[in-house]
Amino acid sequence: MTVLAVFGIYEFYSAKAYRQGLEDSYNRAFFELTDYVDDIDTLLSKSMLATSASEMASLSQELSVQTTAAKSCLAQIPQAEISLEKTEKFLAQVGDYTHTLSQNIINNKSITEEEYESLSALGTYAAELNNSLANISKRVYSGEIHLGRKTKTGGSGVVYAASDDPFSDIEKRLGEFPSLIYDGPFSEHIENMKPKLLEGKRELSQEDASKKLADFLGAEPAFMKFTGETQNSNLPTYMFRVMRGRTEISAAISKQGGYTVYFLGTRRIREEKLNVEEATEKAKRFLEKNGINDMKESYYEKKDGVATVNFAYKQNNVVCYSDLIKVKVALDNGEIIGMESYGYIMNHTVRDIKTPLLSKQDAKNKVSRKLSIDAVNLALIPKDSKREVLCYEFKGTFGDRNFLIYINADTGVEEDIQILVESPDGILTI
Amino acid sequence: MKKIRTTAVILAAVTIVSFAVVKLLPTKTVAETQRSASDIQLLARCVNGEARGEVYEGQVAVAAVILNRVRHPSFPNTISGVIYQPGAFTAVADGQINEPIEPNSTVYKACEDAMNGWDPSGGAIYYFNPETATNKWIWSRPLIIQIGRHRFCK
Repeated sequence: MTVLAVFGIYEFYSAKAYRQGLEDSYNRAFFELTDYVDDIDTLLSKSMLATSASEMASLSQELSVQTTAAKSCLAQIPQAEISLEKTEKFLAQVGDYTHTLSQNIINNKSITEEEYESLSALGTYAAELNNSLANISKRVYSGEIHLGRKTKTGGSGVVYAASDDPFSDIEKRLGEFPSLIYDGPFSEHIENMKPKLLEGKRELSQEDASKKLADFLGAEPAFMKFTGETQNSNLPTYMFRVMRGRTEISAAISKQGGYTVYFLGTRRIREEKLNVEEATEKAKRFLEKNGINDMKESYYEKKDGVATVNFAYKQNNVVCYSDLIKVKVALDNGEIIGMESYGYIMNHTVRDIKTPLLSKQDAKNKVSRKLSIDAVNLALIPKDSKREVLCYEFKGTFGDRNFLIYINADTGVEEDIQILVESPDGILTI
Repeated sequence: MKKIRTTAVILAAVTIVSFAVVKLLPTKTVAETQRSASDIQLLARCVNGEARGEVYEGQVAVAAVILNRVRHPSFPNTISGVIYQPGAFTAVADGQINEPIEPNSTVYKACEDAMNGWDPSGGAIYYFNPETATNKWIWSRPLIIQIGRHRFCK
């Protein structure tokens, strides 16, 4: 009995120490967060008065650093039942937005009135966030709130009951935050993008979709099993499952237009008989058979007897990287066992691509002398904001690494640099 | 035959690489756009903890949700940040993420497919098991699709 009692007391104090340690780390994250938000508030106020390019650039650099750090701290604090998504989004957009503005200045565009207004709105919210956090700080100091304490109604993991949550107030206030649309990866417009390929296409019934999908897959229409349909999506689909020979396939087909969005097949792959070139040819034939033409093969990956080949749409001599399709080919018998075409469906249109303002030679002069160039092509690349830019794509080597450098075909600005990593499994960009 | 040979020669001669596939993260540093082996390990262990018994499609969908969160402004910008966000995944809270992965498990393949862009969840950033979820708020999220035991939501 005494042994049990001693053990019990030991465990109790042990657990108390762990809880305290955990709470300490939450507190550290929280107080760091308040420091960063305080800085963000100050920096945004300063940015309203910045007039020179260098001032704005340096302020936005600092803001990027602070917001990234603040986001990281926020991610370490236990999420309440409601979650802190609006606060996180605000922090993501602040850094991103000011970065875009500073890039504009560097490229000789000035900040518009509208943009100043957005900055001002962001500043107001930063101030509010700062205040709210200061209030919570007081409550933590006074011992009124303990970050991370489980409530009586909490389920598994570390959660608060909604009413106890000190952060829910902030989330409510940020509810009226104006949506920001700008040239960055966290801009609002990205979530609201509609699939270009489906514009104006008729919506299919479930039966028609089933037949069309069976035809696409080369499967028996009678074996198709309907498994559901997506809602609340910018690309509504019907989902099906089917056995095709020995392969079990799950697939999604768009309601509008009946385009196969993806399919995934599983079966045991036997001895590899095909090489990647043959697999690529099979993949290309498959796409052409289904009316998908002008696709140029690019990156490939080979793993466990399956080759995944990437294709991009090529219009005349310009590779349009947004219009991507990936095809999986089984290397034992060349069966097409998977396909993914979300990028193609979202972005594919026939584009009006103007002749570049710069010649190949002009663009080449913008590339660092250090790069030893092997090949040049024209490419339409998507920026983080999904905006497409026409570029000259220079492939070359420097040191013992392969690079891809993208020079804007009209302005000569270097839009992107990628490193190529080649391995026995495929060619990767990083 | 000749056409295939020519294509093979052209392929062998030209190696243009698509970056869009691997450009998963909207960040500025090279380090963060890398598909590191440790990322896949972590992703696989989380999917294993969360969706071990699910159909293959369901496993790919769970991995896709994690990756969708990385891209989403409301969540951390790295795979480890998303997975270890306190309270986000029960498999992390109850230690299932540390369970070893069975040798014939499909989770690694599921993670590779998700990293290559396959997303049966339809762009979801939340999922939950309606039978076991204790969190009332999650039921208010717009449903996209149910696969196996999980409801995938925006």
